[in-house]
Order: sequence, then structure tokens, then C-alpha cells
Amino acid sequence: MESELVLKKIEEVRRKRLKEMWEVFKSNKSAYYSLYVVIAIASLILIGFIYTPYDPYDFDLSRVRQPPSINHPLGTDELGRDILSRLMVGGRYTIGISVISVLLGTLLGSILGLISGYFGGRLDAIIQRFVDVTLAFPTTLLAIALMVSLGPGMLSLIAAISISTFPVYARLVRGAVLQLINEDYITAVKLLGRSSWYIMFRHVLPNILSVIVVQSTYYLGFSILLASSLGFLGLGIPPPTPEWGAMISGGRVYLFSSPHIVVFPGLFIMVTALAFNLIGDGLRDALDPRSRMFIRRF
Amino acid sequence: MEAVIKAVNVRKYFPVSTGIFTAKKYVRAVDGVDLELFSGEVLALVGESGSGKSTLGRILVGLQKPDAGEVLYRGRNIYELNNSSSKNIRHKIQAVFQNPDSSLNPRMQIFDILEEAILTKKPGLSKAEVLEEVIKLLRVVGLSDDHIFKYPHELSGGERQRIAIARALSVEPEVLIADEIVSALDVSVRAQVMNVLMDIIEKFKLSVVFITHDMGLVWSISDRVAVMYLGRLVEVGSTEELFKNPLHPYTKMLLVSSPTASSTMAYKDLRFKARGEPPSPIDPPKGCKFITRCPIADQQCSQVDPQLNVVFRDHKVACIKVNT
Amino acid sequence: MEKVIQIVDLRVYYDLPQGTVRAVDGVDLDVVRGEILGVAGESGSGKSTLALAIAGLLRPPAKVVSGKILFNGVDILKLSNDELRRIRGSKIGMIFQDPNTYLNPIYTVGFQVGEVFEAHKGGPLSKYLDEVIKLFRAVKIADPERRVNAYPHQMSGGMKQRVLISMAIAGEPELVIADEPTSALDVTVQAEIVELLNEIREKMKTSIIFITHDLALLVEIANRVAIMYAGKLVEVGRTDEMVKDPLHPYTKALLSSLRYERKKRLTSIKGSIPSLINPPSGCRFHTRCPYALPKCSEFEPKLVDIGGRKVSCFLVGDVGGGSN
Repeated sequence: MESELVLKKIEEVRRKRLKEMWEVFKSNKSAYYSLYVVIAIASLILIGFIYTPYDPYDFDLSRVRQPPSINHPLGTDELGRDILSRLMVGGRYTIGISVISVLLGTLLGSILGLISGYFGGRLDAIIQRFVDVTLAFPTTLLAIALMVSLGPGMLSLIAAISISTFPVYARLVRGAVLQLINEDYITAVKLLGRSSWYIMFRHVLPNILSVIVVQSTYYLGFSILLASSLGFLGLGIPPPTPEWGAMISGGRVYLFSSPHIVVFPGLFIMVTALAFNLIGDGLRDALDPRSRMFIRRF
Repeated sequence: MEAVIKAVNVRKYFPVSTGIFTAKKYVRAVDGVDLELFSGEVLALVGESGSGKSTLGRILVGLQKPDAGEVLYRGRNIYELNNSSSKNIRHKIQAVFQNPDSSLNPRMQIFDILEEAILTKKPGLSKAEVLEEVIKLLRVVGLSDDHIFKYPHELSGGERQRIAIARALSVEPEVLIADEIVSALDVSVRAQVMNVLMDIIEKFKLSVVFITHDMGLVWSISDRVAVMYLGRLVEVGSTEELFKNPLHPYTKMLLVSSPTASSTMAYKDLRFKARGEPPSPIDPPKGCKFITRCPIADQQCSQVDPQLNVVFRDHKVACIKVNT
Repeated sequence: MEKVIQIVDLRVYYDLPQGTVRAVDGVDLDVVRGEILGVAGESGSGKSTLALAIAGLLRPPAKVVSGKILFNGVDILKLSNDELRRIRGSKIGMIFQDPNTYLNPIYTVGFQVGEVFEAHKGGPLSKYLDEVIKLFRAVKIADPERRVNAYPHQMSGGMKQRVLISMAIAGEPELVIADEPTSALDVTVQAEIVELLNEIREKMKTSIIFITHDLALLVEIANRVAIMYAGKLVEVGRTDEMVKDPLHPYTKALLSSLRYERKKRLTSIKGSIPSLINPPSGCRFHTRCPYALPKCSEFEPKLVDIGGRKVSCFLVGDVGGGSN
């Protein structure tokens, strides 16, 4: 028996399926180009770790509020610092914080949702009441309140955003799990004698992954806005850190006289958030196997 | 003959929420059922919606703990096993369900699905050995080797059901609960799956509880029949005896109404034409539960709740109008 | 014999991203006044599309590519939406499969049936209360005066289906199209509904097109049966004659798969239902036909009349080869 060949082919087929998913994603033009945008911005930030045109913290009052020029492609801000360099470094904070927060929120919320939905009963009720309470607060207000009580700084910011975002995952994942546990293949695996945790992670999770991933991309967009809003309000990382929201806050006064100080960070925030959202749309179609099958009765 | 599975006075009631202040109400899905499955036989469990046959099936296979009563596998209560024996016994009783669209994980290749099952029984096998087993299983259910590469959505409903059967077989069960396994399939495909079932029953000496509402299939595959109505068994007997000489009015009604049973019957007693609707399962009538639809019911029937009594050898009926 | 419906070379295709689905691909069929014509087919046969086409309920991406449907001589495919609406509900009634999706849960059933009267005879709805009660009585809904105020969720499946039937016959139509009206119901309830439909046909002289996958059911109630496979008609004829002497291999296979014999393997048809996007060349059934000749894969047989029976098969009668 050429079992080696057969096992290899099984792998091939599996890879082909992943490739098909990629093709579906690619066919969504906005999602595809958004991916490029995100890669471009990420590259910019990564380059910022080893090189920036100027020192983002070096302020020179003789060069304040200069509009874009050859020397400073995006101009200088209210303290004479190069905006491009500040954006490159600040992105670490804005996007980095968003990514970490969303990751934490996803992890916490998904696990809670999984347990809640799969085990049900008392545990479910307790977790859901807890989630309900957290959801009752408007997200932004909750984040502000948390920031005020936790004090400024990156860790507080991450905590605030994670806490604000995990409840939605708990709800979402619980709903998806509830829909899934009645499927016969879940029952069949139970009959094989596998443990509940095995079933949750091997069978339930992969089938709800698309829901989680898509929600995460939307939340990435949202948390970028949230992080920068908090930064704008002065509740984020203290200056002179060039977090994008803080940059807008700093240049607020000069909105009409030197709009570039506000516009460029604002543009970056908007474009990044939008790109993540569009990628989310593309992922949703690519990840859900059922949307690729056309089920119809003739 | 030894009973492989024995259900003793099994009950399962589901609570129905009716309000904070009203008393708790229950749907009596399974209301006191005694059943035996003998080694090597096919027992058809027949009933319509609301009969409780699916709930009983889940109780027999170990998925639903009954509120009262026991389910014994070769004398041992399957809901009271210690950890070491529970996996082995769990493998001995397997099931296949109705819906081909949800019977397989859409994200797994057929090879993965069967590999997972095989490894629960024989965890030490190498990849190559697993592959061998998978191919063997596929052959048993009549599918070609190249099915291992496919994903469930690439298979037809009948093929998916056959994979579900293969999965159940992979852990070498003794008992199979088949819950309406062909009801959702096209007629031309039904036969394929039924034939596979018949093959494996013979080959692996399985004992089967075949849950269905199709009397034609009952005639074709079963040795004995148990008819359920509103959570109770109303008639039990060998298939030939039951079809030749049905005793309970509901059994007669089922046979008269079944288009596929027509060819099996000598004549149709049209007094038992289908009529009426099953009563509310939450508030069943006093006395015999079939009274709302029975053409021969009288005053007495509303006062006595009939028990399953032996009429002749292993033919039992729960009806006071039948001489026992 | 007067013809209520004459379908002439009907082709209905669906334009989907994965290709063109040829759901109905050249169907010629007549419905005689006062008869029950059964249309049998498995999933993917095109029978549901045919039903929708006759009722004028096709929506994009479905497209009538060619053909005529003559209702009392008038081609209903060419009618405007307004003219269609006048016919639908008053001259042609429809009964669908799942009463749950066809009844609005927020209105009483009486209101919904009353809407039919209001639509065709003008408002207000309230003046039709008595007519609705009369209708409910005609479809054997017990306690009709009370039931008109019931909501769908308060009724059983069988009762809901009776409500749908009453809606279909409210306008005293000449033709009723029933698309799988009993598939979601228990077999005993099915028997009652079928009896009801027969009564309606006798009393109101309505013609009924009964579409279902359950050939056994049609054998019991239909005067004539038309068998569909992969978008085409393969055999049409009187039920009793067809059962005694089926001509098309598919018909033979279907009928024998309904023949349940004690402990014998069921007759299955190898292969599975073909894709309607890429149907087999020549005769659509040739890939599964045990009698296929070489020319069956190249040429498509035409539906020819053989002594009152219409068949499309090269093995039956000398049918000249016509290409796709």
C-alpha cells in the first residue's frame, strides 16, 4: 500500500482548501486592497523601530507648524516635531495597544462564551449575568471610567479596552455554540467517549472561529478608534508619547490654521480602522464553508 | 435468549415553563417504558411525532439520563458506571441519527473523521495502520477509497449517512441505535443505506434498535416491533405477527395510513382510518391516552389506564378492548 | 376531456454564479379537469420549480427561457402581474409544504384566511367571518367558531395545513397546486389530509396537481402520475397502469424500491442524482440505468405516446435519435 502517497495527498487536499479560502478572500477587492493598506502601515511602523527621518521627541520651536514640505513630508506639529516620524513611532502604541487589547478581549470573551454555551445551566446563568452587567455600560464611558480609576499608562489602556470588548464575544460565542451543540456530529463525538474539553476545542471552536475572527477584525477597527479617543481625551498614555489620538489632541487648537497637524493622524486612524473592517468583511465570506456552498431545492 | 439491552420502567419528563406563579408542568416524553433488545435482533421502534421514540433512543444509547428507571447493558446500569469501564461500554452502544447535513463536521476530511473515531478505540495505531482501518471501513459501507480526501459537502446525503454508519462501526459496537436514518434521504438513496445497514448487521452480528415511522421499512428489516404512543409502549410483538394480526387500535391506524405498508397487508380495516389528533402531551386525558382518536373506545376506556399485557407468547398489547 | 392546464415545452433555468441550473428542461404536460395528477420526483428533479412556474411564483434568478403554460387556453406566462394576481387565489390555489413558514405568526388564522376573500372580493375583512367559519368546517377543523381566533402557534401541524388548504380553496379554484403538502406531517395526519383533498376534488370538481417525492402516496391517490428526473419528464400515465406495467427504467426502479419484502435487500439505484448544471449527455438517466445502450449517452429520447402512456426511453418504442 502506498500509504505514504495517500497521506501526502490528504495533506494536499487540506492545503488546497485553505488556498480556496484565500481565493475567496482575494475576490473581495476592498478586503484585498485593505490588506495591502494594513501591510503598508505595519511596515511603516516596523521601519520606525530602526529608523525614523527625525527624532519624534525632538522639538524645535523654530520649526513649529510647518506645512508639508520636502524636508517634512507631513509637516511639523505644534512643537516643531516631524509628524511623519511621530506617526511611525506612535503607531506602535495606537495599533499595538489595540491588537493586544482585542487579543485579550477575544480570549477572555471566547472562553467564557464557550464554557457558557457548552455547559449551560447554573454556570451559564452566572456568566451571562456578569456579561449583562458589563454590557449595560456604554463602551466608551466604561473605558473612560476605567482609565480614570486605573490611572494613565499603557497597561491601564489595555485593561480598559479589553474589559470593554470581551462581553460581546461572550454573547456572540455563546450564541454560536448553542446553535452548534445540537448538530449530530457533536453528539457522535460524545458517543465516542471524548471529553467535553476535547469536543469544545476540536469541534466546536473551529466551526465558530469564523465568527470570532470576523468580530475581532471589526473590533480592531473599533479599538483603534477607542484608543485614540481616549488618547485624545488625555486619558491614554501621557505625553510626549506620539500616540495618534494624543497627536490630534495636541494639534486641536490649530485645526483651522494648521490643519495638517490634526488631519494626518486622523487620516491614519480612519484608514487603519476602515481597512480592518473591510478585511473583516472579506474574512467572513472566506471562512464560512457554508456560504461557499449553494444549497437550494429545485 | 439474553437481552443485550434492558430498559426498566424508564421515565423522562421535560419541564415546560408556564409562568412564575403556575405550577410546574411536564411533557411526559417517556412515561414508564420496559423494553428488551435481544442479541442479534432488529427491534423496530415505531411512532409518530410526540411518541417519545427519539427520546427513548437517546436514553438507550446513553445520551440522556432518565428521570426514573434504568438502562442495563448485559446487566450493568449504563448510567452508573465507574470511569474505567464506562468508555468500553460506551463504545458498545452507538448511534446514527437522522440529519445527513449535520452528521459530519464540515471542516474535517472524511479521513480525519474516521481517524478520530478509530483512535478512541485504538489510540496506539500508526498513521499507516489508521489508514488501513479507514479503507476497510469505507469498503464495508460500500464507498470507494477516494472518499477519504473529500469534505462532507462534496458527498451526497446517502454517502454522508454511510460515513456516519462507518464512524459508529469503527469502535466495534454491539448495539446500534438507528434513529430515522433514512427519513431525510431520497427514495432511490434510501435503499442503498438500508442495504448497507442489513449487510453490517449480518457481518458484525449487531443488535439494532431501528427507530422509524415508515411501516414499510419495519416490514423489511425488523424482527420485532414496539409501537409507541405518547411516551408509552402500546404494542410489542414479532414483526410478522404484528402485521398479520395487529391488536392495538393505534397500530391498526398506523398500518392503514401507511402508503408503504399497503403492499404488505392482506386487507385494510377501514374502521381504523386515521382520525383525530394526538392530545396535548402536557395534559393527557385520564385513562387510555388514545381515547381521543380511537374508533372503538367507550366509557370504560376513560377510567382505566391500560397496561402492557401478554396476549399470546411475546405479543403484548395495552388495550382493555383486546382479550388477553 | 377538457384540459385545465397545458404545459408546452417549458424550460426554466436559474442563473447562478456556479453555472446555469436547468431545473425544468423541456416539459410537456397536461392536467385534465377534475383529476388528481401526481408529479413525482426526488430532490433535484425540478418538480418544485415546475410548481412555482404554474403558480406564477418564480423569482429571479429563475428565468422562463421558453415554453407556454396555458390555463384554460390563456398563456399565464405572458400575463401581467395584476392579471396573475387575479387568477392566483381565485382560479388557482396553492398549498405548500411547511405550514409554519406560510402562516404569519402574528395574525390569527381567521384573519389570514379572510385576507384571501378581501383580496378577491373586496373589503372589509370582517364581513367574511361566516364564510371563513364555513370554510373551516369544510376542511374539518373542529370547533371552527373558536378556531378562527386562534394563532398559528396554538394549532397542531395537521390543523395548520388544513388552514392552508382552506386558503387555497377559498376562491373555489379550478386548479389546486399542492407542493409536498404532507411531507412535514405524521403519516396518520397525512392520511386524513389526503382524504380531505380527495373530498374537495369530488365536491368542487377541482383539479389537483399533487407534487411529492413520495411515490407510494401517489399510487394511493393520484389518477395519473408524471415522473420527473433531472428536469425532464420520463413517464406519464394512469397510475394503475403504470404500477402494473412501468415502462421507463427509472419508474421501474422507483416502484421496486417501494416494494418491501421481508428480510430481503431493497432494490437500489446505483449512483446519485445528477447535477442540473452539468446534466449527463444524452438521456439524463443513462449513468444509472441498468439497461443503458451506447446510444443512450449520445442522444436524448423524446417523450412519445405509447397507447395512452408517455415515455422517453429508447428501449421503449422506436424513438428516433435527437441530439441535445
